[in-house]
This record gives sequence, C-alpha cells and structure tokens, in this order.
Amino acid sequence: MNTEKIGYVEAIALITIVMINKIILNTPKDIIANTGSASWLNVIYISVISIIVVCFVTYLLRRFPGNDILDISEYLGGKTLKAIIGLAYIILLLMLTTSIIKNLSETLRIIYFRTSPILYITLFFIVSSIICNRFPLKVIAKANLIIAPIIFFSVIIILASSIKNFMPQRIFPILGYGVNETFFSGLSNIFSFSGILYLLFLPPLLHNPDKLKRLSVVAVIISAIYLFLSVTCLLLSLSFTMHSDESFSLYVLTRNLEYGRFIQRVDAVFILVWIIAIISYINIPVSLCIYIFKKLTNISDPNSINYSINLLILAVSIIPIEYAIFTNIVSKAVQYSFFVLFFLISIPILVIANLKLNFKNKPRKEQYRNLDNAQKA
Amino acid sequence: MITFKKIFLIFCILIFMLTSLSGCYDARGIEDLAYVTALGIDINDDNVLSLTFQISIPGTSSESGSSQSSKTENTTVQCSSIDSGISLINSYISKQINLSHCKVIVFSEKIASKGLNKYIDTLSNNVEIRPDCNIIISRCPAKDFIENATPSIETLTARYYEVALKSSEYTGYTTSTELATFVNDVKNSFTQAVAILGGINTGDAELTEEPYVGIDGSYKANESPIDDVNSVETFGTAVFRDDKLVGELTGLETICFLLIYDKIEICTISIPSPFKPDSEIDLSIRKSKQPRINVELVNGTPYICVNLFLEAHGLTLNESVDYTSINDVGMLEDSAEQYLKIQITDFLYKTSKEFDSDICGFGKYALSKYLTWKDWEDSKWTDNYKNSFFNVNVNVSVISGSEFDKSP
Amino acid sequence: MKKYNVLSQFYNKFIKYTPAQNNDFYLTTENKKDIEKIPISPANDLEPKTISKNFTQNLNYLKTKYNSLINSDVVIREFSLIANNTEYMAALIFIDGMVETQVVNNAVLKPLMLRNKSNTFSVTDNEVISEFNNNDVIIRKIKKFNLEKYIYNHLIPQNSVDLLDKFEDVMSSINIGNSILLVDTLDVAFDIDAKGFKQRSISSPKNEIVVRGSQEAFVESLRTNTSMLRRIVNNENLVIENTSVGKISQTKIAVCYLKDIANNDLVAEVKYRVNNLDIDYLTSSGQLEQLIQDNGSSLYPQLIATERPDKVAIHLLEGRVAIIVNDTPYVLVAPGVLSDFMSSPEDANYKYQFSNMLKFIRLIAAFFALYLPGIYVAVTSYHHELLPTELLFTIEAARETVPFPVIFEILLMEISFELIREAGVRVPSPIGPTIGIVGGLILGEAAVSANLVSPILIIIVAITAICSFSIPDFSLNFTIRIIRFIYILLGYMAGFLGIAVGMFIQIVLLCNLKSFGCPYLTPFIVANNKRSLTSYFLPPIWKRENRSNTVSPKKKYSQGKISMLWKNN
Repeated sequence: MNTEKIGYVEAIALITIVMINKIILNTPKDIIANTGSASWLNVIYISVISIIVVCFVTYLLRRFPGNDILDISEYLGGKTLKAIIGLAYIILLLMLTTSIIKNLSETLRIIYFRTSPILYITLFFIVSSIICNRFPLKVIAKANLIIAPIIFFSVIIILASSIKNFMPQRIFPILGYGVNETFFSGLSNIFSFSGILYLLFLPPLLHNPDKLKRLSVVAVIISAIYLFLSVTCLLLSLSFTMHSDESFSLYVLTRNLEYGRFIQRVDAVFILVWIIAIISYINIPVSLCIYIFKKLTNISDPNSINYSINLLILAVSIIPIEYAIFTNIVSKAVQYSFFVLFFLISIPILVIANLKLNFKNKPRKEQYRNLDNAQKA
Repeated sequence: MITFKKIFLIFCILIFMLTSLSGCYDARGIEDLAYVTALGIDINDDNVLSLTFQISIPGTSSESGSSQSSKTENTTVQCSSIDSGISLINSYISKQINLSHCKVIVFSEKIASKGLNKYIDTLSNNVEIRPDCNIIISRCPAKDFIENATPSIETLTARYYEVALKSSEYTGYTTSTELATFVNDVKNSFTQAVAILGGINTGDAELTEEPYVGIDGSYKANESPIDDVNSVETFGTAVFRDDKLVGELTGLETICFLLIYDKIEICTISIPSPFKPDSEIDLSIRKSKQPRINVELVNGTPYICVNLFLEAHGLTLNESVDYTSINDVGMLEDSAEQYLKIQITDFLYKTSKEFDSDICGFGKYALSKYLTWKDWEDSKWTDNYKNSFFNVNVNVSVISGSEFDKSP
Repeated sequence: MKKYNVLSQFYNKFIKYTPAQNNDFYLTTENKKDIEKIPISPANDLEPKTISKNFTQNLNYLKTKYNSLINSDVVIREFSLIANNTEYMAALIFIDGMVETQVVNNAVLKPLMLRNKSNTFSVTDNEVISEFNNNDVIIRKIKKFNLEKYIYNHLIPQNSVDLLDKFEDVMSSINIGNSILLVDTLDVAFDIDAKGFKQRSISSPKNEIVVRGSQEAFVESLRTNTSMLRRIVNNENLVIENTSVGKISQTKIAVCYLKDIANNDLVAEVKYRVNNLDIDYLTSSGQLEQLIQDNGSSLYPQLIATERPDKVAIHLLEGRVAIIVNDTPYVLVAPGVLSDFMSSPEDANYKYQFSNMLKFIRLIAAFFALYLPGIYVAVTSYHHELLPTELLFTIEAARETVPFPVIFEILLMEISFELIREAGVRVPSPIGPTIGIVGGLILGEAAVSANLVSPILIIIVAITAICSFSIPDFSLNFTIRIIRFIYILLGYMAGFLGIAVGMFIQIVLLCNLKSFGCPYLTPFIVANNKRSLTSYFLPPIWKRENRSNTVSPKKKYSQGKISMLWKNN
C-alpha cells in the first residue's frame, strides 16, 4: 500500500501535529497542576531532555538504515520479539486514540451537544477515520501538511491575543512547589513529547532516511516552542490554582478573546480548526496500526483491517464509564505504558541490537582490514 | 465483499436519514430561545435566592423600523440556587433561556456581604455565560436595579450595557470588571477583587462623606447629583476581601485606585488652585510612565513605596493661569502633586486599615521575594497587609493647556 | 424478419421465418440477441480486405457496402481515363455535400478525362536505367511503364493525394469527405482530399469571455482548429498526431504537443489511453474526457476543457498535451490541476498586481460559494454565541414570522435557485438572462413578503450565487454546487463538528486525486512551482523563469535569468 514515500517537510508536520494536538487537549493543564508556577522551567528542562533522547535514538537507528524498530527487533530476537513489540505498540496506539476520542466527544457534548447521545458524536470521528484510512500514509501526510500551518497560526493568534491579560508576576515564586517537584517528579511531564515514538517507525517511510536526525530535532524544537508558549500564556493569564480539570486547556484562553465589540466569543471558530486538527491526528495512529499489522502478518489488502480497527476504537470509546474517572485513571495508565514501552523496552532493544551488530562486525573487520585499506588507497 | 459493502452503505444511509430528517438532536433555531441580557441575584433574610432575568423581546421585521431589542421583560423567581432558578424560569417562559448574550450580572449588597464564592463558581462553570460579562454590585435590591435599567439615548438594550459600562475608560469614576478577572482575583491570594458599584438615582444628593474640595467625584452610586430620576447609575467601586463585600469606594478614590493599578486611560480631576484660593483648576491627566512599586518586608511588616508618573493638560482657562510661564506651571505641578499624594495615601490607608483588603495587588510584588509556593503561603500576606506602611510619591508634569496656553 | 407480437410471443418460437407482410421493419425478441452479436465491422472471411486488380469486383463491393441503390448522396462517377494513350476504366466515389465540386471537377476529372499533353504522352520506349556491357552482351536495366506512378506523378494536380490498398481505409476516407479514384488493373486506390463541406466560421467564444484577450474560439472542424493552434504556436516542433476512436463512428481526434518540451511519458500515457478505448461511438470531447480521466467517481474535473485557442497554446508551450476531437468546439488539455480551474485565460495578460488581486477575490468567492450556507445553518442552529448580539436580534426578528426551520428554508431557496438557473439556460435568448434575474428577484421578494423565508436568507443565497458565478471553469462550478448541499446537511446535523469532518474528508480526497500523474493540489502543497506561470499567485513577469515542474517538461527555463535585457544591460 505504501507505494510512495513521505518527504522531509511532511514528516516534520506529521510529528509536530501529534504533539500540538496534545497541547491543545490537556497537556498544559497537567503540567501546571504538577509544577505550579515553575512550569516554564520544567518545560525547558524536559525539552532539552527530549532533544537529547531524540538524538540518541536517531544515532542508534542510523546503524540500520531504512529499518524501523520492528525490523530491528526481528534481527535481534526473531519473529517472536517482532510480534511482541508490534502487538505492544498496536495496543498502546489504540489506547491513545481511544482516550483522545473519548476526551473530545465528552468535551463537545458538554459545550455544544447537550442532548445528543455519545454514539452520534463519536460516529463522526470514526466515519471520517474509516474513509481517510483507505488511502496510504502518504496522502494523510499531505493532508496534514495543508492543515498544519493553519493550526500553528491559530494557536499563535490565541496566544498573542491573550497578552493583554498577562500579569508578569505570576511566574513568581520561581521554584513553584519546590526543586524536587520541578525537576524530578516533574520528569513525568515528558509524556507531552510522546510523539517521538513515531520516530521509531519512520525510517522506511522516508524519501531519504539519512535526514532523520535533522527532521526529528526540528520537530521536537517546534513543538517545544509551542508547548513553552502555551504553558507560559496559560500561566500568566490565569492563576494556576484555578486549573482544576478544565476540559480543553487552550479553550479557556479563547473564551476571553475579544476585539472591540464585534468579535466576541469566537471560540467556535477555533473549535472548528481544532476538530480538524484532531481528526487529522487520529488518522496517524490508526494508519500506523494498519501498517504495523501489515508488517506482522503480510496481508494483501489492509482495507479490511481498517474497518475492524476503527470499529474496535468506536466500541471501546463508548463504554459507559464516568468520564472524569476515565481521564484520571486511563490517562495515567497510558502515560506509564508509554514510559515503559519507549524508555524501558524500545531503547534497550536498539542498544542491544547495536551491540550485536558491533560484535558481529568486529572479527570480520580485523580480517579484512588490509583489504579495506587497499581499497581505500 | 460486495454484499458487505452494500449492507454497510445501506446502514449508513439509514442512519443518515434518521438523523437528518428527524430534526437533529441539538439544533435549536434562533427563534426558539429567549436571550437574557441581564441577570440579577439577590438574597433575602431566609437565605432564599431571588433571581431576576431581563429578557429582550425581538421585534418583527414587519414592524416599521424597530427590528431589534428595544423592548425587554423582567421576570423574578425565588429559588435555592442559580441552576434550579433557571429551570424554574424555563418552565414558565415559552422559550428556552439562553445565557450566552448576558452582558451584566448584578449582585446586591446584601448577598455580596454574605459571600459570593458559591455563586461565582456556578456561574463560571456554566458553559453559556461569557467570561467577559460585567459584574455590578448594586446598593439597592437587584430587582429594582434591573427594572430601572432602560436606555435613554440608545434604542438597543444590549448596546446600552456594552457602552455604559465602558465609561470608566474616560472618566475613571468606576472600574470595569469582568467575570473572569473577578473570579481570578477572588481565588488569588496576592490580590483582592473589586466590582462596579451601581445604584438607582434617587434624586437627592446626599453625601456619605465630607469631600476634600469641590463636590465632584466624591460620590458613590445612589448619591450623584445628576437629576434623572428612576434610572440607574454606576459610580464608585465595591471592595471585596476573599469573597465578601467589605466596603465601597467613592469616585475619587476609584481614580486613585486606577492610577496605582495602571488601568486609567484618561480622566479629569480638579485640584485646588494655587493662584486663587477657594477655586479649582481642572486637569486632564494620564500616565506618562509605568508606576514603580516597591514592596519591602521590614521586620515582617510590609513597607510599600509607590511612585506615580503623570502628565497633565490644563483644561481651565482663566486670567490667573498662564501655562507658558515656568513659575506658574511649577506652582501648578506642586499643588497637583500635593493634592494627589494626600488623596492616594488616604485611600491606601483606608484599604489597609479599614477594609484590610489588598485590592491594588501589592501581593504580587511581594511574591518575587519567596522561592517556593509553600514559603509564600506561610507568610500569610493577606493577614499581614493591615500592618503595612505606605510611601507615595507623585510626579506630575503639566504639559500645556488644551487649545490655548493662556487666556487671551 | 419475424413479426413481433406481444400476445403471440410463444407462437413465434415455433415459426422460423415468415416474409414480412407489409414491408414494415420488425424486430423480434428472440433474434435480438443474435442481432446484437453481429459485429459491426466485417468479420466475414469471404469479404475482400484489400483492393484487387479486378476493377468490377472492387466497384461492386463498394456499391454494396455503401448501399448505393438506396443512398441518395453517395455519388459514383464512372468514366474512362486516358494514360499513355490507353484507355482505362475508372470510377470516382465521393459523398455529395462533403466535397468541393469545383475542385473535383477542375483538378481531378478534367485532367483525367480530357485530352491534354500529359495523358496523350505515350511512352513507347522503355526507360533505360543502366547498361552493362559484358562480352558483347548488353545487359540493360529498364523500367517498365508504371501506370500507378504515372497517374500519381502526372495526372492528378491535387495537393493531397494518398495511395490506399485496404478497403477499411478506403471506406473511412470516403466517410470523412475525401474522394476515391479506382482505376482498372491497379490494386491501389487514390485518396484525393477535396473536402468542402459547410461549417461554422470562427466566432467569438460564447462561454469564456475575456476583456483583453483574443476573441477567437474553436469551431467544429478539426482542420480549422489545428490551423488556429499552428498560427499561435508558430513552431515546427508542434506535433499533431491523428487517431480515431470509436468502432462505428471512427471519430477523428488529434493529439497535440510540443516535441521538445513535453514529457515523453506524459505523451505516451495520453496516447495509450486514447488508443485503448472499446466503444462504439464518440460524439463529443465531454464523452472522451470521462473515458480517459483518472478517477471517474471523483466530483472534480481532471482535464481542462476550453474553447479558446490562446489558452490551449499557452498550455502547450508549458509542456502539456492537447486533445482535439472532431465536431466539438471544446478542446481537452491534459493534465489539469486545481489551480488551472481557478485561473482565468487572461491572467497572464494583465499586470501581475491586477491578476493577483483577481485571484485573491476568486479564492474568497470559492470559499463563500462552498461554505457560506453551511456555516449559516451551523451558526444559527448550534453556535449562537458567535454572532454579535445586535446581529443576533436582527436575525431573530427576521425569523420570528417564518413557519419553517432553517434547514427547510435554505434547501427550498437553494433548490429553487438551481431550478431558475436550469430554466434560464433553455429560454430563447433575447429574454434568457432577464428571466434569471427577474425570476430570482421577484421570487425572493414575494417569498419574503409572504413570510415564507426570512430576508437574511435571500441575501445569503444571492451572495452564494454571485460567488459561484465568479469561478472561471464550468465544471468546477458544478462541483461546488453539489458539495455545497453536502455541507448544508452536515452543518445541520452537527454544527461545526459536521463541517469540520466534511472539510477534512474533502482535503484528503483532494490530496489523493491525481491527474495523469500530477498531484491535484500542486501549487498549494508542493513548493516546486515557484517563479512559474502556474503557481497560484503570479510573480512579476520577469520572475517567471521556470516552467511549471508539475508536468516535468524537458526544458526547465522559459526565460533567461534577466529577461528584460533593455533594462539591465
């Protein structure tokens, strides 16, 4: 199905969209609730850490050009390891998508659709996901590329318009809840950069895989800038003790947007833009799930999986659980599983695979060193 | 697979027909809703809330001319909480109440002195209410305030509210408070909330306090010397501590507050004339630089220095004033600075000693002295504020007169 | 022929053949299948395929094929031809009304029938080519008198003469208006081009009106159209290849491209698609467009159809391929991407500032034409807080007396507007446009005063209609009209959520669409069209150095680095 490859700019847009959508939904409020008035310090700190992690991961991936984590795990442990890793990622991506869809449907239900059943609203997202996943990832990446600048622009408009509500003294006290909370337990905020797990699957899809490092660093920097700006604006406009589970983080800012007497309460327009953003984001994990599944099982027509995965997401997201409890428990579960899967499983796999490659190459290198030298000369 | 596709398509079409032709769930046409332009909340002695809704009646386009919100209807309901009040009204009125165009929320003095926490939480949780609707504390019952709020120069009620409450931008005699800022300030620990003070014009100008000089500005609402019986006026500010009303400021004191808080655009004050005793000179002042505020903690008590920088244009033109001579201008500036310094210091001590409420937000300057949030909470700024000392310096530079520089 | 009788269908099964009683034409149900299976072209092995030396056999075959006893306009002129002082039997076959009789008389029949120097010249000696003397034996190479070459070279002073030997080619030549000359003892036929049928003369374009461009439009005849293209392009590298499509109608089409600019693969793809169509007849370029487009189920047009030769010439010079179909004044240009349908033919004629302003206005017009009714429905049903308060009360006052919900109102007005538009196309022309305007106005006025619709709605429908008229391309207009209805329904179903879902699906479908290998959204998402004529907002003319990269032309630059040498030299 993937007959064409994704270009450089499209891949950047892909990864940034993932992270920006998290920013729109709920990341700033989580960060501010965790670290109080030192959130901006925290954000800078985790951005630096994630850039380091990204450089490390791309360095590890560089030894296997054109291979993603599934191929590497197959190289390391055969088909069983590949199956385990693939299945784990599929489950993680499905959980992510389900939580986002449920989050969004409930939020919309509160704001606009008081009497509609939850199935009605969720069906819109699922139907659009079904229709759009019939096309290969390249088409979705192109659509993302068109939508991404609009979203960036809208976030900038919101942030710029809330400047008049700023009170610069809100960043004091500087260390917020304390050094421990800011730097150590605040490290769990790195979940807002969860888009870097898509990097592990990107190499075979790119036009030129050697640009992977530049691409990923640029994407992380752009999202870090956006995260920093939104957290700072939220922090400076509203007292952080007030952030107790609002639905959309940036929505709170848009409710105060006002230009003169004519343009007031334009939050509906921003919601329109963000729904488009989130729909385009939902397609990426689903498309990736289909891709992983195809790699694991070699089916000929991924279209059939398309229907199944989407209906599975629909079924899980309309389970009648209390929404507030759902966000607390499930989002924490998702965070921790991302942590475990990415940092504790995938990175060691990469490291071990690199060591294995080194170990395998070493004796051969000794033997043919003269030949290499002769060839070089 | 062909049959599966067909079945799926038929299923989709059925759902589509069901939803679109059965009058979709939440589509409410504009004409099905009643739009509330003002909301009044009052309480009586038995702790029963009394909600007043001002609903605008749309004209029809077949009437000549007036097709907009010129007529209003007021309804009052007794209830135990805001949301139950809304449902009670919904059952009485023919259309469904919609609060998304509510411009003004009026609390009466009575309910404000009992504490507003519960109500503002309910209001900010409500999806429909705009966070930028204004909060008015009225010295008369909320119901009377709303019933008398009819526009005299405008034809459109909604625009009346929007325009009337922005007068603070050019007079300074009252603030303009929005719901979002109000809620913010109530929940903060480093600043306290203020709200617009409103009342009904009763026709007699009684003063609750002796003015310093002249008779302008030293009023609160309900007392102004404007002769327009049975209409509402907004004048002065209501001062809160946490969520309870603790006091009110006159117009002149509001000007002092706005000067410190840096929200004034331009306003007119009258200072005692240094050239002729018992007469005033009017100046139109605005700020020339940001006010510099410094908060130090001396032995645990706050010592607050306020430096204001203002520039003025003279509005009075009589033979004793010559805005071009250095001498005259110097004397004028001295007199203005003296006058303002006394007013502002009085105002600050009033907030500190009488109201015990830090409405000017000095707490946020003190915030930078602490390293963690726990230290700030331990210092208990709100309780410490009443021990503070103030040092006010005003710097006025009279630039020129308005059109002429001296009387011809 | 069997008699067809509904009541006696079962009776017919037992009867094999009865002669027709009153010479009427009947078709039976039983034999329908057999008749359908009879192939159109002769698959009968007994029929001759090539011209034989037997003149009578050839002539009789053609007479049978053309039903010359019944056909009134097939003319077969038999005469005797004189060549080399010998008389041969000959026949000239043509269709009356399609040939220029003067030319046929003067240039074909006269030199063949009347005695003149050429045909009385008799070659008695054989022409000696070379001689070789070998041991007193003279070996000569002589050339015998060749009648075919003689007639071809000397006797037919006509500018376009071909030699044909297959009956298929002979018949197709007669069908398009050429004259065929058959001569006894020759196994070839002479195909003489003396076409002279009446056709429409070149007039100004009816549907693509411009202010400052040329005012010529294509006509029906293929030759005239190609001549117009040749005049504008003015280059010997312009290749015009002829093929024919359709088994019965054998419609002639021409594929035109510039050999040293157009991409070889593109040309090959176009020719491949055109030559591999299994259809009976082709009557218009619209039909051909539907047969060779990439994605038939998509609502968007993928080939540009235009009646202006200057527009086609610009596209050819930028590296595209044009397809001209005989008897249609609309020429197809492949490939077609979205920005082509939003550009007017004279965008290159104006200063770039004016063109860019017009393009910007067209973009706004497209946006309004698509989304305005949908957004109106969504805002008035779900998102009331978006409107400023005074506007809200105006709309509410207007809707107070209307008995219908918004969705019914808007569908009513939109459908009646489409009806008016459709009716206005067919009304006889002096009052055609007026009917449209008058109908719209009066209908709207009357509906408002009867309190059936609100005046705000009339304004919205009118703005939408005006905006949809600003779109230059006719097919894209249809697309927008259809999609607009989808958005109205989506807006009513779920407000901005529905519209957002609709927008996203539309973007994805557009991203997936490709026209002859070029992505449909080319200048908007791929940044390789800078400084060229087909980027959406035109750069100044001295900056348009590149040819558009979409079609990967062979020549990358269409201007030098400094094109205005008089200024910068």
